[in-house]
Amino acid sequence: MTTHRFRSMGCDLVVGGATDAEAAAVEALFHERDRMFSPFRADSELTAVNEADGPVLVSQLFADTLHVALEAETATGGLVTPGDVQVTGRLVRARGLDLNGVVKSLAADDALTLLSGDGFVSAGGDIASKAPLDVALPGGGAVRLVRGGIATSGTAKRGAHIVDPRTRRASTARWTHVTVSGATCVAADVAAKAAFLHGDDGPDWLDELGIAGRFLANRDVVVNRTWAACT
Amino acid sequence: MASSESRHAAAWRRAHAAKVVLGAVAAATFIGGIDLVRAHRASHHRAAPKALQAPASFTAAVRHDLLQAGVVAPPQAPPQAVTALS
Repeated sequence: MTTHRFRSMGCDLVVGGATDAEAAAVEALFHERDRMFSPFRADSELTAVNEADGPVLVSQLFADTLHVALEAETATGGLVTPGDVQVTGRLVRARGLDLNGVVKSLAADDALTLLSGDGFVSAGGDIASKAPLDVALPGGGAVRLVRGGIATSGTAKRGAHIVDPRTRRASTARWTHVTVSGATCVAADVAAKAAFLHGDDGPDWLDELGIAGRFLANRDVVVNRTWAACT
Repeated sequence: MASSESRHAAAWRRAHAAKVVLGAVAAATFIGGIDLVRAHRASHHRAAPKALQAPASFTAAVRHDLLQAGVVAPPQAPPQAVTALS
């Protein structure tokens, strides 16, 4: 399978099984999302919303992405949250709006639709695939992603960067990596972040949803019942 | 004379009964009104305030829609991709 690699959104991206034109379209999609949602760009739409004194009329793509972020907040009981935001249609008023919880994985899902054949999109390790794909796991080992997406969340690479919104402090969960398979990449990403923040209850929380999860604490690997039954 | 006294006593009893009934109705109206005010006026509520939350059925529906499981299986070939932290 041919692969195309590039950088965007501050991470390495890999597109597998795409034609040159499709790979170019995927790259353009990620650069567009980066221009729109980067908190580090003065000209991004996200920055405009965060710096405005009042409501801002946002683009439809921005509104749709925010809608997914708010769904993630509801679905996870507030664990994966974009922050304090007021939304009326496409009018958005926010301070400190953070869409990092969904932007990258949602872009991977959207980019996958640009591929005409079997292929995959990996955005910094968050993977959406149209066909069965064997994926290497953190700490060793591999799994076959038969359908959907797979994502890993954790603290190992950049330190304790996942803030628990319940305490407003860095999570004290013992996991370094939580890998989850979801029906889509964004589902996997949101579930992985929430499972991480659930700490020791994370495996059971995923089991209640019927979602497979693999937890790494230093070198100890813990899989939940759903993952064990599948693999 | 006796008949006049009897009619006067009967009128007095009717007036007394009417006063009792009116008093009871007024008291019931007052007590009912107070209860209604307590039930509907924020300044009179007696339960501890709770944060607004989405209904459980709505949360369950959103969770069902967004957090759906993927399908994984044992690997069958060398990995072609890597899932990791970004």
